[in-house]
Amino acid sequence: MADAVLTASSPATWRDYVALLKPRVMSLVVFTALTGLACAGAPMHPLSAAVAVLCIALGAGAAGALNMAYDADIDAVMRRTRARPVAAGRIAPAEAYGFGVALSLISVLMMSLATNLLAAGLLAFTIVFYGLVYTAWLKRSTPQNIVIGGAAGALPPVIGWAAATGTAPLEAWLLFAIIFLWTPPHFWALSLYASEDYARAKVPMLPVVKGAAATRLQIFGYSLVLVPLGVAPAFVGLGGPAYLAVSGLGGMLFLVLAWRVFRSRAGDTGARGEGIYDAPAEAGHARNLFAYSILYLFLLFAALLGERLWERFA
Amino acid sequence: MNRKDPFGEGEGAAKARRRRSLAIALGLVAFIVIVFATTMIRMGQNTAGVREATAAGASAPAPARSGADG
Repeated sequence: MADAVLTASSPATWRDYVALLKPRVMSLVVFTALTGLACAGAPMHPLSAAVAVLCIALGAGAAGALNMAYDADIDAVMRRTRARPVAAGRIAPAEAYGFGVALSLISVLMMSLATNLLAAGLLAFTIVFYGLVYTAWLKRSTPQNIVIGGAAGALPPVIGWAAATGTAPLEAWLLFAIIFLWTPPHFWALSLYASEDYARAKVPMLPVVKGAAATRLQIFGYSLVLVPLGVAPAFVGLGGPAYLAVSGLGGMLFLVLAWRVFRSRAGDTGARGEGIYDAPAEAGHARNLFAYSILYLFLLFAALLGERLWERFA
Repeated sequence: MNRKDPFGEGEGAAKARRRRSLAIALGLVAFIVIVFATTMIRMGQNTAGVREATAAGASAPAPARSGADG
């Protein structure tokens, strides 16, 4: 009944529907997918490539809309997410579900039309994995939620590669592995100073279930594996000297920040800030790692993309 | 009946509804254009592929006939 009233006089604007697509997440997805597509090195009609990237963006947005529809109860009690359109009551959950399903179908069908069935299948798998497996199951049931669920966020470069070539070779899965291993230290750094919110929303994030010290150790452990893997593309022919320099220096800084988080008392008191970059003093190192991790991933993929564009146009 | 607010939902909500409708219309037009352009590209690629295969078949030497063929 509440939904019916909301739909009859919905105050939602087009901006709310854009917000449903999680544009910030989408921008990273588009960037990594574009890098995968460029690294494949196969000749592709520019419009087909643009449609492929658009489909991946729409698919990511669709998954975001399904996530917001299902997680409205969680989002409503967390400071970081309570202004989201479904949680704030500007869009009815049923509308968000409809929006998400429609965009999912459009993106997968267009991908199969513009590129090939492998890319379309991987895109469909990514949407289902994020929208159903992560959102409806993992997120509320295990502290490994973002570890396993991170596979959805790591697939876009593989989809981009598949769109260009119709195959998904080991090099594409190396890019997948980098994002997959990047996800835990990235999200756990944030959750160290947002654990009170997660606890209130009954989301079993690692700091809530295992405590801050165990989370800091896991962050450092994952960083130790991530950084060498981040350099690996330079040794398998994917990245050149620029990539080696960026991944080497960037990785060292990542390790320094992860070490500082490990040695800190971030998350011990459960104090929290208002925004994602607003951490209490004790969690300053966790905030720094969270912010830097975004830059680190961007730099890795920008270096790969930059080198490919340089090879092509220089 | 107010044409700008046919459901009597208030000026703000009616304006938001009009803008959403416009966005849906533009999205549909974009979808049609993309599907049309993609279809043209795929048809062009397939036609080129068929032409290449035909040309390759025409320029290849005819297979030698064996005595068993009669």
